[in-house]
Amino acid sequence: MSDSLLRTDKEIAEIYSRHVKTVYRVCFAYMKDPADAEDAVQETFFKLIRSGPAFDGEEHEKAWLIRTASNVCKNVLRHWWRRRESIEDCPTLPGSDEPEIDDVFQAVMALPDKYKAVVYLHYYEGFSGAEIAGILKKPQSTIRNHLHEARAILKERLGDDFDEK
Amino acid sequence: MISMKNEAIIASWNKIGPSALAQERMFSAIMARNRSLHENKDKDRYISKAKKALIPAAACFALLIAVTAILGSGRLDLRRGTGLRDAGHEGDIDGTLPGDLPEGMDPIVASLAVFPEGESLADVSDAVLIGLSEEEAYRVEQLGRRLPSVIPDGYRFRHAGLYKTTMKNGAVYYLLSASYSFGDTAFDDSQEDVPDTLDFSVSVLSFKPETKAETYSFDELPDDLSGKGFLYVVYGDTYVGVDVGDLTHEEIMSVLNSVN
Repeated sequence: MSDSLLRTDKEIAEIYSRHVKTVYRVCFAYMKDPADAEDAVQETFFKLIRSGPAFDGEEHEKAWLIRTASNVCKNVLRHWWRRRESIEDCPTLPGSDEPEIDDVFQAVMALPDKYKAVVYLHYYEGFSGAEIAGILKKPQSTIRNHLHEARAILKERLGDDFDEK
Repeated sequence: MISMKNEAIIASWNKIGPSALAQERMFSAIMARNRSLHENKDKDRYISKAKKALIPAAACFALLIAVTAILGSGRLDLRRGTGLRDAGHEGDIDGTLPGDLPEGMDPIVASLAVFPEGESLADVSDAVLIGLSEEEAYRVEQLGRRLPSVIPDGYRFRHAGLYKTTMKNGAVYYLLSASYSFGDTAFDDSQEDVPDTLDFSVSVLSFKPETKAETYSFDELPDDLSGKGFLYVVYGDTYVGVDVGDLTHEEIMSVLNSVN
């Protein structure tokens, strides 16, 4: 095992408290159901515990969690053995109330996976393209293209509901 | 590019969130994992001290095993296969299924089922796959201790899964599978580019599989295992399947030597 930062329970609890909702929202956009989103959130925090990265601040911490959550979800979805294909097939966990999914979120969930984290970071968190490129470790041109294409899809599907202000 | 939030997106995404119970459940699992890591760190430190004292003896033992294996082996032609298919698994590794399934059989269950020689897919009641972390994989009762404790230089754990098959007569069978990849980016899921190909994998079964792959006792291994695809090595009553990938013979032997 490499020399990584071993965090105390209190430190992990604080990070969890600060970011669990953000991580869950990102995971849900990929996984499309509460049970799988919950698994992905746990796996994201397990990676935080295992790899023990040092952060420069809360924004850096949040960026790392969003990028890791996005990669965790993409890896799970890539696995051929993924069993559950739709929300109807999911076992209902206690306390896993079905979230209210409106047309806008349906449109976001229907986006190709490569656009979802970018859309979240730009339209929800308000990050610029350059900042997103830094967070996701991708070229700015790629981020620009992803945002352009995602915006076109959302505008086509949502019309006036997707007014940028 | 101008930073720009979108009110519709924000309002929509704000409706998504874990319930209080889900938050509590995730929190408990995460804290348990953190505590477990702390405990293992303490254990690792203790083992490291003990290992230093045992290195000379272990080196002599490994040399003895390697010499025994080389002297007692003959060159054999191995056929390529996959651990799952060769563990009584009707489906291919990519999820495609040859031929007709038994009536009423869920194709996904069929693709995950593992069972011993003599059992039939028609007798499978259910099959699931449970994803495991490295720590969890090595702790799986009876099977985890058969995973290799030595991984060739440059390779890292990538992922593991426990296949659980329940037969209609109530019998339950398990197969533990772990995959290892070369290089850091291959296993570090915090990076973007994770290659689709695996470099080698190890499957552990507590039953004799119906298999077309070559099966050896540890003392009868061929003198060159490189490029041989998939093979089984029998350790007592446990079958350890290895997809050797691109490993060299020496690397394969280091893996096999480290299996308990």
